[in-house]
Amino acid sequence: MDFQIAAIDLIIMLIYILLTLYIGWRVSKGIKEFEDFAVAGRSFGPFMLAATFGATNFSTWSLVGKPGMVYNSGISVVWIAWNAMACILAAVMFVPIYRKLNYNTMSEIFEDRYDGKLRGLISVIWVIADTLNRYGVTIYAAGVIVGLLLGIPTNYIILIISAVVLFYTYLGGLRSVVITDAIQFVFMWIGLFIGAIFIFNNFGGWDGLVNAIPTELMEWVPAADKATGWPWIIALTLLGFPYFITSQFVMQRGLAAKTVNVAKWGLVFAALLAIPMAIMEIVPGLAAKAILSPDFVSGINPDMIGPVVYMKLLPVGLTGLFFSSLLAAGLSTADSALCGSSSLITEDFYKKWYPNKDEKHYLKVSRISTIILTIIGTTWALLVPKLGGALNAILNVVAITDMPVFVIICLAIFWRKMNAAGAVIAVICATIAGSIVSFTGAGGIQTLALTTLTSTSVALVLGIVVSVVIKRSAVEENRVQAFFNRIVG
Amino acid sequence: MDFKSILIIASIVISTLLMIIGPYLEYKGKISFIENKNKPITKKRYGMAIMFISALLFVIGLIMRTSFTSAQVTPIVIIGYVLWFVGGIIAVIRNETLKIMIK
Repeated sequence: MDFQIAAIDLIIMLIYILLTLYIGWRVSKGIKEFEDFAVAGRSFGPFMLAATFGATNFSTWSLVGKPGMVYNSGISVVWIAWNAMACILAAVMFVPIYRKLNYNTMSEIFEDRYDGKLRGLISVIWVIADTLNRYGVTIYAAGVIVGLLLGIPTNYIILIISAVVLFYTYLGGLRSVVITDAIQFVFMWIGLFIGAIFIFNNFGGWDGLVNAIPTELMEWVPAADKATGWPWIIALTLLGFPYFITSQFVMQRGLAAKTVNVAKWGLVFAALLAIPMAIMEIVPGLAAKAILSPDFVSGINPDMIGPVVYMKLLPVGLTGLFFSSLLAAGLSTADSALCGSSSLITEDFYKKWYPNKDEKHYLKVSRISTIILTIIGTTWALLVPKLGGALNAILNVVAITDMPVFVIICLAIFWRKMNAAGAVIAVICATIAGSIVSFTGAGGIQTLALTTLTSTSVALVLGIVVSVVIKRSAVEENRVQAFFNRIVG
Repeated sequence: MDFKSILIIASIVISTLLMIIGPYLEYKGKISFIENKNKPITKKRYGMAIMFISALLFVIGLIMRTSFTSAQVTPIVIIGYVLWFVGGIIAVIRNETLKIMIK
């Protein structure tokens, strides 16, 4: 199929890109020191936070990869986005603790509670995972779609998108990221709204859409022998906890709220917004089942299923708005990964090696590391086609690396006996065990569920056993006592 | 269009308006929910209790799929999911707090 869009659609997309660049430049005027860059001076309110949480979570993959998944697996794919329920737990239990401890990056908790070595290990894992997967794969996904639409090689689009993201993230850090996310979120929402109107109009409503597709695709809880069966749903729900509660990539926003109560409500609103967002993500996939023939689908890139549905239904002009929303989705995820990682590098590594510099110096370092990470992530994006199935890698990376980190943070807060040795061994062994399960495909159709179960249980068991067997030193005892004293404040 | 699709579209319209007006007001300096007037409470934490029960409902409902159909377990799972939000919002409004955060 030839994918062509009209000149007006191109103009709309160009206006959106120019607007994004202008905002990045404008916001950068207020950036004077590292705290402005990393946590935006802790100045944001709950609606801005909810928008940036939502924008970060809703990636190009939401409108590109998911419709293809829905086409094959049905409505149960909705549970991926509905794992934002973890934001509620973050609001009630975790954010008050993080704010009491006054962190600039999430990795500080590891040094406070355990030791610097563990902090370094976790930071390296996060920087690699966020730069390669969340930045690189997201930019690739955006590049594929826009490149196919414009008839331009994907690699050129990848370079252009990277340059745009780098520009406003370099200049404005988290402040630019949050403000552009808020605008991108509106673009995405408008795109979804327009898409929904045309899809529902075409089928006569939700019931008409449901009646037009096979009933087995409308199971909200499929059996275990289906790819998105109930064990997969449990795994996806669990994977929401490290993603929303303990990852630098997302929780950097919670650290940027004006007050702890603002952070709580921002998270609650973000969780509520995910409910209709998730429904809208699956609608094009369901519509594709009714509109597109199996022969046609087998002849196109599966990532194009969602965009093809919209191109068939949307008139000229609105197509441009919709695809601007696709671009917005990609930019909003990529900028979060970039900003989070550059802050980690400055806070967790550079400040330790060169501790006595001023904040302006650290700001410069953050900006330089933003450039370096962009080069690495863009290179990865250009290599993704050679890796095969990379979009699925995002979920497996969370299962392998983020779940053990979530477990040791929970143990750090809720079990005083937990020690640094237990945490290090738990993270390393759980990551290895999860990797083995994932790479060997053990568990068959439920590999993701088994990977999640393995990494979680290995981290939990080893963390507890090692902490019971190996006694803490006096230095570590004092550190733990100081940590809990700060929480009580 | 039917009622369900109108409901879905209405939720998107309301969300979009909130996400335009809210951030704009905040950009102008009008930030809401700055402080919680309720003191932190560590007893009778009903919100957290509802969250705990809802999590059990959610997981048990999913596991029940081994013996029941999707149509039978979906209401249990969805009720668990919704109650999780209800409990969380109650906990945030009442300022329910972990005991480790209070002297």
